[in-house]
Amino acid sequence: MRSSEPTAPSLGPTVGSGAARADLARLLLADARLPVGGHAQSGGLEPGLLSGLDATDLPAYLTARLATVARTDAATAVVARAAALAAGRGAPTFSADEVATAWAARTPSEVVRAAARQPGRGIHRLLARLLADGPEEAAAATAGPGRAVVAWLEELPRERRYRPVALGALAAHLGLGSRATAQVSAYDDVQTVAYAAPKLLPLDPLDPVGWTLGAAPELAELVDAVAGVTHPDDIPSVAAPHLDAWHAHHARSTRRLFHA
Amino acid sequence: MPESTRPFRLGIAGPVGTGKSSLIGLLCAHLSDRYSLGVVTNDIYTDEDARMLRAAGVLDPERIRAVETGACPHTAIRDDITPNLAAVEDLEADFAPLDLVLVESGGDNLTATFSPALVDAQIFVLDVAGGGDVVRKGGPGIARADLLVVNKTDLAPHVGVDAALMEREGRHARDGRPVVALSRLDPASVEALCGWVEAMIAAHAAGDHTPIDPGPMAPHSHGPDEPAHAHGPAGPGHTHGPDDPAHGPDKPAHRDGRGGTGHLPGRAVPAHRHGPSEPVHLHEHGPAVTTSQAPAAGAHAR
Ligand SMILES: Nc1nc2c(ncn2[C@@H]2O[C@H](COP(=O)(O)OP(=O)(O)O)[C@@H](O)[C@H]2O)c(=O)[nH]1
Ligand SMILES: [Mg+2]
Repeated sequence: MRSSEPTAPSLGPTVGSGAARADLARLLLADARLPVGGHAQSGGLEPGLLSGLDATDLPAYLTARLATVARTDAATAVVARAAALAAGRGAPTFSADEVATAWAARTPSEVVRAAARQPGRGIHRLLARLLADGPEEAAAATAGPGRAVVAWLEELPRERRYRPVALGALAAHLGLGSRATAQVSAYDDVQTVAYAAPKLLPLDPLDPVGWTLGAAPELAELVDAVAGVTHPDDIPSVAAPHLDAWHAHHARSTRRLFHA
Repeated sequence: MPESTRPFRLGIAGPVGTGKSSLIGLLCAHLSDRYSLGVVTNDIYTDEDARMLRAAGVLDPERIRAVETGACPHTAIRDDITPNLAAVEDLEADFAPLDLVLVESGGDNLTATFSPALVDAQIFVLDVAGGGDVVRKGGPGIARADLLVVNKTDLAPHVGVDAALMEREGRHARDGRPVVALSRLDPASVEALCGWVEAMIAAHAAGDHTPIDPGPMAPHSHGPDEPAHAHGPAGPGHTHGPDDPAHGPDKPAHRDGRGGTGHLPGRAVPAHRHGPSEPVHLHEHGPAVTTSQAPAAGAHAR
């Protein structure tokens, strides 16, 4: 414990678990203001713009992500959630290492994998704090599965706690269902791009709101497609080489606002 | 308080161009032979500051890390410190044991201060070229940072500012908290700065230092008859709640707290505004991105 750290207010759950908490948690995880480092990323938008994308491409850019990288990420979060829950029940199925390996195998760009470490780390920090700070009775309530969920994630070395794996573990701890987990993951992908857009382009900030809503059919289709996945082998492998190339270029540029 | 086992984390805040990176360069040049240092920079454009510091040759380039702020330097040091904390922890792990980690904020406006969860203490840097009025205008960093630096005193005669007066007004606005009038050309002032930092490193290591939060809000008053006040539980009974009447534009905006109830280190309150004409907060941005779709640069209210 850091000696000079100010006494942190408790973050643990104070009300009973169950549906109400899971429902609120779903909103929290979808909120860009959740302080887990998301503000430093643009979902590949800045790399894309620097490589020639323009504002008129943005609705298509969102759906392209939903068809490719966002789909792999969401499915991974769903599988991670199920595996973390299984570990929490004492009937382990897949280790975090197996899930992370499956995701990494479908994410060939080291730059993209590296970019997923930072939010993964932020999510892990939040998860660890939620457990560490809970009041007595809440800590008791979450001690079993909650601790096992964190332990499941922490089997991974820090540099492999990628966002989708960490998000799945947090979703497991907070009681999100697999559909909600897939939806939050994909929605966050869309909103990361939409939120970064007005910072990078001379746009009316209301425009991206319409694009997000316009992606509803693709987002719903993604949720249907991945919510039932439980085996790491079944995570869709839909790489986007063009996006990877933009990311690679961005990582070497010296004038950037966003990490990725 | 028990002795600390981790390095002293010191934030350097202040508007663009006041000399934050230069000050870090000075500290590295003067302290790195006796202390083990690391630096994290937050920049509008990624690694501009980090590259400048690396080029200065005052510290092993590996010990200087740049953090992207997602175009929002204020958020990165206060509302969501995740990337900064990760960079600080990585430095501490890679170069253990460190004595001092310096975190430079991206140049933001006068309201930006560090979260106490990120740094143990913070320096707020102004310069004489910004004008003598800036100190009187106040703000949380000016009033309550652990140290206020009035930088570039060598320029004072050239910009028509009385540096000694600015320093005095700084002390007054800070209720006696320390102020250093600095110029890199004035060895005595550099020594005063280094002495303060060394004393803080020692106090932190001994467990004698408790981080304070300057908070994002300056004490201010809403009318000629109302005493100045600070927001937060430590302040005299005035908080902004949902039922409060809006503070209209007819009320004078933030005055500094002199003559009022003083400067109180309050808990953080969310940014808010007092009238339609006053923005919540402003960021300063650098030059436009070098793409064909250059973003709209310039100040924006977030
Ligand atoms: N005359 C003078 N210039 C200074 C001093 N310190 C910094 N500067 C200059 O002020 C400018 C901005 O400094 P910098 O450290 O980049 O400011 P930052 O944006 O706050 O990090 C640079 O041109 C520095 O060389 C000083 O003590 N005297
Ligand atoms: Mg600088």
